[in-house]
Amino acid sequence: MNWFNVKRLFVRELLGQLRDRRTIFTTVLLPVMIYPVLGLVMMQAAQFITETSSKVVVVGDFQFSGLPTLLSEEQKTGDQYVVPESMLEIVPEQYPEQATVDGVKESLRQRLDTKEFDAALILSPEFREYMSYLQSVVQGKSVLKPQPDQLPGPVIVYNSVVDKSKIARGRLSGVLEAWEEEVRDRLFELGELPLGVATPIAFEAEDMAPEESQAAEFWASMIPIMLLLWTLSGAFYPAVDLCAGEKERGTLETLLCGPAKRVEIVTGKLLTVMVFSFATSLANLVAIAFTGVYMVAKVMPVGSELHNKLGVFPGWSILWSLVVLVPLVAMFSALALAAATFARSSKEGQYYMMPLLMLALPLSIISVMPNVELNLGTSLIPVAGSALLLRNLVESQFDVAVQYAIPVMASSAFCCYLAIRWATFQFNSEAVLFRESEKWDIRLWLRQLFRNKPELPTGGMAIFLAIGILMLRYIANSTASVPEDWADFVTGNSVALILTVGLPAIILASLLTRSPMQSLNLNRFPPVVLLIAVVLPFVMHPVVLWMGVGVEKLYPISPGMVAATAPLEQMMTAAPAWAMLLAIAVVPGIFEELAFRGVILTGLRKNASASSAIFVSAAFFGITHGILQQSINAFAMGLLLGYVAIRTGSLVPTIVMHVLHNGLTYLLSIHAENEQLSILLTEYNGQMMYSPMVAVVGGTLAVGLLFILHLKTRPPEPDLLSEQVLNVE
Amino acid sequence: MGAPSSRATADASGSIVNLTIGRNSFRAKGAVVIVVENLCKSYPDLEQGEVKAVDGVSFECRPGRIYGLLGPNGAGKTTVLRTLATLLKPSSGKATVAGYDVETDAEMVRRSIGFVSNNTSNYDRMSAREMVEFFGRLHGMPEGQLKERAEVIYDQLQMKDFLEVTGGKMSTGMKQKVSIARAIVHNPPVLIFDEATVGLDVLVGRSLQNTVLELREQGKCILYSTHHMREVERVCDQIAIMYNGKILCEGSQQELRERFHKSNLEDVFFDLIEQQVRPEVVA
Repeated sequence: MNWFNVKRLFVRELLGQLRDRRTIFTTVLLPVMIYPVLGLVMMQAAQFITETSSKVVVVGDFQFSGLPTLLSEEQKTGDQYVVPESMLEIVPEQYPEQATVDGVKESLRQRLDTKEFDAALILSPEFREYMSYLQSVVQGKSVLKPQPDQLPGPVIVYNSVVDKSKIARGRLSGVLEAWEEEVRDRLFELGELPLGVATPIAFEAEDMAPEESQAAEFWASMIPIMLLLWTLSGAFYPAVDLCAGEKERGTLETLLCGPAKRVEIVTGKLLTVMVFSFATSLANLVAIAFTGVYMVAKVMPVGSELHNKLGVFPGWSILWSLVVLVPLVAMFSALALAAATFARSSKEGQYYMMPLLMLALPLSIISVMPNVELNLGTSLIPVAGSALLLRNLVESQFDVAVQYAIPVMASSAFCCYLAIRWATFQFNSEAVLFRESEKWDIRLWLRQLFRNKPELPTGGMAIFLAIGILMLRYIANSTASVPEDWADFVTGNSVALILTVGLPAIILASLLTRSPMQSLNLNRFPPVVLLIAVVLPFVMHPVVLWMGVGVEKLYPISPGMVAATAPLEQMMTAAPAWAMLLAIAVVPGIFEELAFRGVILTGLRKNASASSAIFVSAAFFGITHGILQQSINAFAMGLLLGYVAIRTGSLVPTIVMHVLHNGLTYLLSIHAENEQLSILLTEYNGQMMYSPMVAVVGGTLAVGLLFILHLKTRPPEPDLLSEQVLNVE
Repeated sequence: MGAPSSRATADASGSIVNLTIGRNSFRAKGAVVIVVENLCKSYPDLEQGEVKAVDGVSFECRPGRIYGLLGPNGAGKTTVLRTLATLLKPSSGKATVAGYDVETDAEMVRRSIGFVSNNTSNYDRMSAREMVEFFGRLHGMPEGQLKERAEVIYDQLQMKDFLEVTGGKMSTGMKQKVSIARAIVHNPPVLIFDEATVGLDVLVGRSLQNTVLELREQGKCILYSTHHMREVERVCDQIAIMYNGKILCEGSQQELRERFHKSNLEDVFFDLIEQQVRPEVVA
């Protein structure tokens, strides 16, 4: 790569964007203006709500002999902090003679519908009697009667669909709560009881967090999400303009037939997008801080909750967070660039914004969920790790942040690398660069699909199958009932696996390709490979199990999950070995391989390099295993099996390896207590595991075997697969 | 890559052109600069399945000559030229430009060509001068040499009046001049014009043709595609008639007229196309 060219391209793209008024407006000016305007509007709206007074009809006398008066000025204004004067307009009415509470409610409901008033309060004679009774009881004048199920309390009549009515109800509740306290105190006084009896246990909670951290709490939860979203949207608009827009304007072809390499063009564009993404998040940060500190907080009275929340902006720690933002900016920029390259026009490019946001949003929300902390496990989750790190920095928890900064950065950098690979792949694809809009017709498409079948599955078919399997697995898992006994488990599990994983792959290979056997990767293979495939699962088993332990340490299995799987494990120990081996070794070994190392890997191989195809097929293989810890292990296994499948050009060795590996795991779990195995095993956390020595020896042997496999096999010709597909008669 | 340095001054005077940019030296007028052998390009299509846009095309072009690709829309001219410009990869067959293979030496091929088509636009928010200099710098030209070369081109193409005008505000004629200037700034031995006169008015079209003829005088190897008979008659030395991805016949204007016993190229063209469309009627 020629970095001078990258610099020239970067400067040109940057200048081109800077000369466009729209870009400057959306990336810098809009955010700077939008927050102050938003703040003002919100405050105006709040004023509007509190300044409208509520008209309330009170049916019945609100003077109670011997008790504090209801609806006093203190009660009415106690709850208000923005506007000090009372916002209740009281219309007193007589309680109709001989009327029941239900009758009064009914007549009030009709008047409420005509909006004559916003809410009403019914103070029935029964309530009045009850109040007098309580007074005489505490004074010892009456005998205590058993308490009825329902006390005759005051009734608020309102309409929850009408906002004004809801506000009136809220205000009335406030008044009644204040009055309740006064009445309670008065009753204690009459009964000559100390007031402390009413609230015998007054507990205190002392917040020991430093004051700056307390104040920063609000910002700490807000800022990471805001920054992430703005980083993405800041990247998206320039990316669409630089790729889809250039395609539309015809300047992309000019650039592509120039001397610069594709990778230089991608890098130049990526740097430009990064600059805008970073500038957008920075502009937003400044605007949020300004709005929070100087506008909202200044208008709110000192000491009010909002003032405390917004008034202290964690200034310097924010600067640190900009460092964290860099890899994230790079990742989002590369993702946006790849999506925008794929688009034919700017319009189409805009459509891809939403799916990307939907991907980033849940990941960033993880950071504000309760009980989620920055640890080694969460730091490795893309986006979420960065959001958590940002949060810790804003909260001034530098010790935690420093501890996990490297894993967060490493995970972000890896995702960033993948995104850049994807963007470059898009830029190298003729089909993407010179895609012309053609009319899409389902009948033509179907006819094409069945008449002009390719020799082997295409990349599109592979992705379709993988997503289809994911959906089928999801439906199967959510509709499956809990197995009653082992036989139920064995048949249910096997049938579900065949129907949701194996069968779709076989159907796709036989209906949509001309060589179903090759599409399923059922090819010949060198015989020596079979020997390796038999021995390899045994020698690598200890390493794989220890890796599983490591994964569970990173992402501990929740107690709920352990409890949920306990009955299943009991059932498994009760089942005969042949049945369990069939259900968890043979059936998955054959049918998962047919799908993932068969059709999916073969199809992906057509459109991508071997390493990308292995990576993507392993990722799908991982995701189909519903539980996170299993997914990670399956992903790692998928990488190994994918490698073996590509090197040997056949599915048979991987089926053998898969069946043996799963079978070994099961056999070990039921024979762990066996004396003869004790030289290999040791106890770890109440569970039998291979001793570390065995793992080291096994791992070394496994590496040796893989090396022999590498020597004994040849990679398939790079163009072999695509050649076969292109040469359709 | 500073290859063009020694030639800029020689070019400015319009005299001998030393085409040393390729693997071989093309000083001799007879050397072949573009070699296309049995080139095929197919792509999937919803209606017709696999479509062969280019189907076994072979031809050769020499320096100081203009090779014309004549054919109706959809004949595969643009696909051939895009393949030569390394924008597309051939499905099979081989093509070399200035001694470099379009598949394995794509970058060197792009350094040896100037590509002008109606699909290659200029940046809206860049002035003519910035556009030409940007491409010169991408080609690795030293600043001094670039300025010198640019001035010569601005003179040749009469661009001095609108050097600071940005692309968005240019007339079609101005845009076309900037495109040519951008394509020849690094003084490449090969120039490819793909339907470059489409959408131009008569005056601008004529001026473009004149420029192409001047470039021939400078010794450039020029590949020129069009569907206008008049243009071909005026500009091209050698002509290939393309239809449905194939070259139907090839030769100089005179050769073609004599071979088909017609007085002009238009009649030759229609005769050939008719044979293709209704072979049974002609037979």
